[in-house]
Amino acid sequence: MTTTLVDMGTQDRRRDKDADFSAYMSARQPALYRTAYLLAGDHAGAEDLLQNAFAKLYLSWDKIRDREALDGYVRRIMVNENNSLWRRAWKRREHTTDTMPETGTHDAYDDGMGGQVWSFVQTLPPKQRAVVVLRYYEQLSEAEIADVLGISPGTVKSQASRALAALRARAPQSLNPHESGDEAR
Amino acid sequence: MNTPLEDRVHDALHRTADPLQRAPFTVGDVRTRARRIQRRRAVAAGAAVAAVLAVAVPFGLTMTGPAQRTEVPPATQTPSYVGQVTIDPRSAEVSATPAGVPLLDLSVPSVSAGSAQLDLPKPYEQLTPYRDGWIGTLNVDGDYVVDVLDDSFTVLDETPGASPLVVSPDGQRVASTFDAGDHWSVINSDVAGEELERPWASVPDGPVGTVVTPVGFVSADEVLVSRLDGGDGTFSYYLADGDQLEPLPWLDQPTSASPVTGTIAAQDDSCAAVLDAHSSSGAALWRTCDHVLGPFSPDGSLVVGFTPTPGGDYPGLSLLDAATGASRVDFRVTMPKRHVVGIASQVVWEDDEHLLAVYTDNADQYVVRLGVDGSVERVAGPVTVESGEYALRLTPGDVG
Repeated sequence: MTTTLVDMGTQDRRRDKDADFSAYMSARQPALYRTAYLLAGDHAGAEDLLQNAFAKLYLSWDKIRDREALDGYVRRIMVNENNSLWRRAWKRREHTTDTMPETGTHDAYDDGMGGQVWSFVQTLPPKQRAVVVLRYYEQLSEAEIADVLGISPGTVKSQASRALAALRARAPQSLNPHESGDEAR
Repeated sequence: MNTPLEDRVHDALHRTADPLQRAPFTVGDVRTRARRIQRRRAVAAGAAVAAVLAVAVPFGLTMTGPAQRTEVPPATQTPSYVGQVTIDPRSAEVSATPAGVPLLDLSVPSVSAGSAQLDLPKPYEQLTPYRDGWIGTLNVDGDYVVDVLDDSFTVLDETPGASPLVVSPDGQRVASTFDAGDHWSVINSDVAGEELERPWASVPDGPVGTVVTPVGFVSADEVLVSRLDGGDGTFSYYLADGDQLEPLPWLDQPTSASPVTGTIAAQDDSCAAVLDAHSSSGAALWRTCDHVLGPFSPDGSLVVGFTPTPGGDYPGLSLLDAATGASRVDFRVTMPKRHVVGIASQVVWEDDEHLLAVYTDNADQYVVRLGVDGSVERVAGPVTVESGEYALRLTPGDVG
C-alpha cells in the first residue's frame, strides 16, 4: 500500500512538472527560438541549441524557484554552448557549403540593408555576437547581459564597443553613415 | 538612446528573426534529450568514480619500513626483475624534484606545475599545458565541460557535453569527444598548436544514453574510442583517424593504448591482454590473469599492472614489460591495522622510468614517484581530505 501511495505521489509530481514545463515551453518556444537562431545563424544550429537548453531546463525545473528567471536560464545555456570553440569549429566543418548562410526572412519594407547588416553580425566572434543579440534584439541591460554571460558589465561594454567598431569597419559606406554618436560611445 | 548604427543593428536583427515562428519541439522531444543528458551524466560520473580510487582494506598486517626490497627475485623472472617493494610515503625520501606533470589539488583548488603552485578559478579534474595556456575538464554534476584557458586561467572557450580528456603518455597530444547532436565528434590535436587542425571523426549517435569516450592514442593520428549504446548497453570500439572511422569488432574492454608501439591493453572478465591495434584478428601478444592493466610508459616499453583483489581493489601495482608481460618491479602498499590504504588507479608516467601515483592512507593523500629501479619518493602530501574524498589528481603533460 505504501509503495502504491508513494508511486502515485511521484506520478502526480511528474504530471505537475510536465504540465508546468509544457505551459512554459508553449509560451516561450517561438521567442527563444528566434534568439537561438540569431546566436547560431542557421536553423539546424538553433534547434540544437534550444533543444539542449530546454532539456537542461527540464532537468533543473524543480530547483528553479524564480519562474521569472527561466528565460535567463535558457539564454545562458544557449549562449555558453554557442560560444564553445570546438563546437564552432565543428559547425564550420560540418556545415561548410557553397551557399551563403541563411539570411532569415525579410519583410517587404527591408531595403536589403537589414540582410547585409545581419551578414556582418554573423561574422562577429561568438561572444561579441552574443552581446549584440542580447543588447539589440533582446534589449537587455548591460547588467542583465553580464549576468547571462557570466562576465562583468565592463566586459559587456567593451565587447559591445568592439562589435560595433567591427561592424562599422566592415559595413559599406551606405550602411555606415558618419555618426558622431557612435564615436562618442 | 541608440546611435544610427545601433538602430540599424536593432532593425536588422528584428527583421531577420521576427518572422520566424518556429516551435519545433514537443515536451516529449525535450524529455528524450533530457534523458540522454541524464544517462550521459550518470555514465560519466560512474567512470570518474571508477577511475578515482582503488582502496585496499588490509587485515592484520604490520607496518613495514620505507621502500624495502623484501624479496629476492624469483628465478623464473627476467634477469632485470627488481623485486617487491613496499611503499610508505610517510617515511619515504622526500623528493627535491617536483612532479614533472600537472598535479591538481582540488581542495584548494590549485595546480602544481614544476616548482610553481598556481591557484585555479575552478576545480579542474584534469589540466594539461595546451597552446599558450591550458586545457582542462570540469565535472559539473557528472557532465563534463572542456575549457581552453590562457596562461592566467581565463576561459577562452568551453565545450559542454564533452568527455574527459585523454592525453598521450608523452603529454604532446590531447583527444576528446563531444556530443554534436546527431553524432559524436572525435578531436585529436597537438598541444603545441603547430599542426593544422585535423578533420574530426564522427561516431554515430544512438538511443538515449549513448556515450562515446576516448580511450587512448594508438598512434599520433589514431584515437581509440569506445561507444556505449544507450539502447542495449553494449560497447563497440573504433579507431578514429582524421575523419575516418575503423571499427574494431574483436576488441573488448580496452583500458589504455600506446601510440609508440601501436598496442592496446584490454581486459576481459578475469584476465588482461596486450593486443596489436592493427591486427585483423585481435590476437593477444600476451595475456595475464594476475593484473588489471593501466597506462603504457611514454616509450611504450612498460605498462602498469594493478594487483587485483577479490573485491576488485588494488593493494599494489607492478611495472610490466609491455612486450612480454614480465614484471620488472612489484610495489605493494603498507598495511597498518585499521587503516584504509590504497593507490588510485589514475597513475601517470612522468618519464619512461618513473610513475607518479596518488597514495591514500585514511584521510591523508600523497603523491609518490615509483621508479622502475624500485625507488620510492614522496613528491607531495600529505593533503588531508574528508573520508572518501579525493583531492590530488595527476594529468599527463610536460611542465618540466
